[in-house]
Amino acid sequence: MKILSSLGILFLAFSLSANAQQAKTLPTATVKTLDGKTVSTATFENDGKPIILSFWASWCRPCIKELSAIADLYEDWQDETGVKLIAISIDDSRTVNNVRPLVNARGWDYEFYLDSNSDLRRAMGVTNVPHTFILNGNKEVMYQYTNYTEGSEYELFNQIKSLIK
Amino acid sequence: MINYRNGLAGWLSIILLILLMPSSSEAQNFLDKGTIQGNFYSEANYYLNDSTIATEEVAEYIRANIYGNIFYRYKGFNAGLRYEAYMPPLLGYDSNYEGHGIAHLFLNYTDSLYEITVGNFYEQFGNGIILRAYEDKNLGIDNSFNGFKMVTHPIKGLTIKGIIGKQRYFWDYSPGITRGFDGEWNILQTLAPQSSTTIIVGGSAVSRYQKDKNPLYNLPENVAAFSGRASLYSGGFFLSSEYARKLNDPTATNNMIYKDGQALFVTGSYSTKGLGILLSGKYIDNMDFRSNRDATSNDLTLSYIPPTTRQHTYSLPGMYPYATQLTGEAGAMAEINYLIPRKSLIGGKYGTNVTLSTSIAHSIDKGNLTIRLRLVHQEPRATLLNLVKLATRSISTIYRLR
Repeated sequence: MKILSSLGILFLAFSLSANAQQAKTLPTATVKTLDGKTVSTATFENDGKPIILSFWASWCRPCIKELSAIADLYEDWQDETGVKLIAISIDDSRTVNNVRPLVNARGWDYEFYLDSNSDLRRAMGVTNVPHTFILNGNKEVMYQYTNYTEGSEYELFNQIKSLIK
Repeated sequence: MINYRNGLAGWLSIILLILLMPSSSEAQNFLDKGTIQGNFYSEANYYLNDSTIATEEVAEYIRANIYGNIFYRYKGFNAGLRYEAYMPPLLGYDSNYEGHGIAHLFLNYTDSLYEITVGNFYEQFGNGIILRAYEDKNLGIDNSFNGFKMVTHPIKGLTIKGIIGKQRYFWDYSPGITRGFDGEWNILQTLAPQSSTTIIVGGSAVSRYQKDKNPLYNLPENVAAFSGRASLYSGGFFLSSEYARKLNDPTATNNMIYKDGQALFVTGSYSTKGLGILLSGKYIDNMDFRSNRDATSNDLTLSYIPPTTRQHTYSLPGMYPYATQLTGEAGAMAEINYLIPRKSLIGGKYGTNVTLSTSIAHSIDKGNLTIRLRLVHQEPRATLLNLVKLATRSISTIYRLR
């Protein structure tokens, strides 16, 4: 029995790689807006232009640094590429009420959603924040990275520009 | 959850093999239409002995936690599994995790009206005071349910959820069965969709069934908990409150008392561009609710009482973390975020962020053993039988305290 079940696992791993050429698309999950409305990720839209999907939390310093760094450049990025940043907070009920005052105080102009039940997080395989995805116009994941170091926002923008050409 | 120990994994693998068999043309079409996605995550540590700080000796030298997820999606249909292996678990994780197998397996169908899940699932009602099944790999928590969940949205703005299941206990299940029901209504989304104000009301009921095998006590086999909540969002203002009550539930963590539990949470915030203010308060009394009355530590928790303190990012300030005292506490927290504007005297070129945060928590008045003894002595109907019962309870309590 043991051998059989191990085979099962091996087989699954194989079938995964067999389909790996298919691009990973944005999974459908339910999230909430900052004023408590339930929405599906299927409604995420940017008129065929790229989307930055950034997983963050109100208690995560690197996330806040990254979102602040992008905030300084965001207007220019939007003018040049039409990109939209969608920030998904993974805050649970301990800190979820901090999100609204925090983002308002910072004056960030992003689209914010709450993923308190971690449905989207699990579907996208996010273990730790920050974890950032770039989606192309068809909402396929083209690029992703975890963590943030100062200056990596420029690499992020290069990746977005390469999608526009 | 399937572990190799119980031999079911073999059968499961056979079913999966048949489902995914590439030689069957129908299965091939089925696979081609949908998408398969997956991810792997593993963390392995090599441990060195350090005699000066007396580290725990690790006989295996290497310990590893390994996770692999696979999801299949086709239109509204989702299926997925998670393989977990702890060889053995990293230091700091519960040693009960040792083993490997398919720890999470589900089938799900979702459309705009319904969502149906069989197998393992996570769920939270309201703030999670009476029900929260969640996963946090970093904390080593996974108290998912194995059972059935149904969510419906009969009208726009209204969500009704029902669940039944047994909670995951490492590679086993809780002996108790948990049933839960939750309704949430976003009133203005239904009645006045154009309104910029949001009013949400909700309520939930959770009940646990566990057989009474205790020779000393007459324990309630069905334990119910209820909660009601309301939130208001208007302009920059936000106000939210939840009250929960749990009926008599003598457990290993509350010294087998029959007293009802209750909890109250209130949060208010105001925010505008450049300024955010948050105030929150809580009162908890005997609100530890688990799917097994004998469970302790972080095992099999149903209730999640959020700590009202600042959550730190880095490990140094988190070294002595504050943990909610579920048997009883009252606390409050305030936090202010302010952005000193750009190009002002202190703001500098890009503006400066200031965050002020403070929190306080106190124990509540709790009755203790001597008070209980006195009460019974004054009781006119203190029979010999009652005294014997009391003595056994006191001995077991003292034994537990030691």
